[in-house]
Amino acid sequence: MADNYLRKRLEDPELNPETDSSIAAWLGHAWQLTELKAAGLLQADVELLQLAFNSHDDVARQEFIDTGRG
Amino acid sequence: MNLNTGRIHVTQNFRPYKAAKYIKSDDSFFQIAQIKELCVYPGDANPRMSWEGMIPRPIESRDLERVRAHARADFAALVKDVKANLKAPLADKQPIHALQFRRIGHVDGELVWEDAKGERLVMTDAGMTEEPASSHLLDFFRATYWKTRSW
Repeated sequence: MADNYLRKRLEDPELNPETDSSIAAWLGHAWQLTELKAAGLLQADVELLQLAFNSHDDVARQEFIDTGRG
Repeated sequence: MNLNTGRIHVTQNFRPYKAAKYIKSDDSFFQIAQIKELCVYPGDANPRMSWEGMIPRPIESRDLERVRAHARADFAALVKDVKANLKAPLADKQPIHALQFRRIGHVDGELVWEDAKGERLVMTDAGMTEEPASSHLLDFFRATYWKTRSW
């Protein structure tokens, strides 16, 4: 799956990242808000309630990650 | 939870060690976040989200009612959905769902949730490797939710 995806991207570097799964982020694409907006991934007037929150130290990634779920 | 849709999203704030002192850490949030423009990342069961500005307001009981109404009340149907989704190679392997239970209790030392149809699920902390255990916190729930007799 990843192999296929990367081959397609190699053939066409201008190809927009896929928006129907998490694959782009998994393979290192850092989404920018402007890109998400351009891809129509916007919801207007939303209300959110946080259900859980945790911070952890990801030694492999060499970074702290704060994760909220809500 | 997105109160409009019932979807459970994820916020992630990455702080690389080298830049950690320049990046503000996120914290838990006990209000309703009102967001004009919510950006939802491509994803699966619990897509990541972020936003540029939000207005907080206190949580009211009607908000909790909305959470409850969005929660899945039919455990068998939910298990079926989760199993089907896990077959996809790109599936989120630790999907998060809200459950609407009829009662919760301990059966032979295990924490069990039961839905209105009598379907039961055993609750454990297995699988969430980077998260601290939290199932035991359910013991602090209001006693009215607990039914330990006659199980």
